[in-house]
Amino acid sequence: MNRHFDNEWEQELDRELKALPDVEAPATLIPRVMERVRAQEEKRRAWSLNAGSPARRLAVAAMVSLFAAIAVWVGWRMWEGHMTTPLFGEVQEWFAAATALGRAACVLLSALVTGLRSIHPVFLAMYGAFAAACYFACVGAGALAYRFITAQRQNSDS
Amino acid sequence: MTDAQQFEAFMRSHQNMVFSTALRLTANASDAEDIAQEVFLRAYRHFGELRENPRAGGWLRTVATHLGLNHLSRYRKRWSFFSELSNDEAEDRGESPLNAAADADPDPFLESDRKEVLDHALQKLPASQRVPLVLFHMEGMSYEEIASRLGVSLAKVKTDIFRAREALRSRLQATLENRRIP
Repeated sequence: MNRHFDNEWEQELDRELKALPDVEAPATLIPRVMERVRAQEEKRRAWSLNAGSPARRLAVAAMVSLFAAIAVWVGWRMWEGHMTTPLFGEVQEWFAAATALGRAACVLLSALVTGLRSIHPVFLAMYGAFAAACYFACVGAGALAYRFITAQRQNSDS
Repeated sequence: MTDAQQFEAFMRSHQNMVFSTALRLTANASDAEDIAQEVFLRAYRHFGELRENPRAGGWLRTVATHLGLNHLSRYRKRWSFFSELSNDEAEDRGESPLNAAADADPDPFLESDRKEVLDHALQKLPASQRVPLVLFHMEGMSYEEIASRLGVSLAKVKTDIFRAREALRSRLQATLENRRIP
């Protein structure tokens, strides 16, 4: 940029200031930054669901499948009424140390199962679909808000 | 070479420039190191784009300037108050603020060269003069841009830069005269 200077001193000072050598940064700067970078990386890795080796992804998929299979099987057995008594018996055993709490939990669970069985399967499926839609809408809105905030932050950085 | 090693090498090649930019604005090594750290953390987030970019230095310098100014504006009321107070006190004592930098610390540079004297004199200027001077001469900003960025009038920017130049001239002259005295 060509600049107009009123006198020789201004011009000379401009030249001298531009020619000033850089000051040596303290030796602590790089270790400090690298420590923060490593901490950020650790945090990012801990929260990342996409990252990871194929074996890790496979393990997660297997765990989710197993959980879903157990949930479906238990749900189906309960719906048919086969497992209600033995399952409640087991629950009562788990809560043996806190019997009152165990009984209350069993009563609540029984009420829930009775309530669910009294609902027509079509309505139940609709409620289920509605609950799932609400859940995914919340997750989606959260993800959108996160992306929006992150994008804004990156724009303000650059 | 891993990403971390590449980033460390990148930092090593730019750290002095980033630190100097922050130091010349803040005149405080500790603050300048904090600002430099923040600049590099932001650079790490954009390292994919900056890695091979020939304009990475310019990006780092701009971010360092912005963060330095943000830092100063955070403490602005405090520093403008003290700088105005010290100028008023000097005027009350019959001293010109133009000579303040020349009068303080009269003879520490007999062995050093002109650049060191100039750099030291720059650090000694009150923030209200040093910041617009650095932005004008070293960061290439116009008077209007400086006035807008600092939120002060154009006339004040011009006056402060004029005073800073005169103070630096006095300081350099005083040092050169001291060198001539055996």
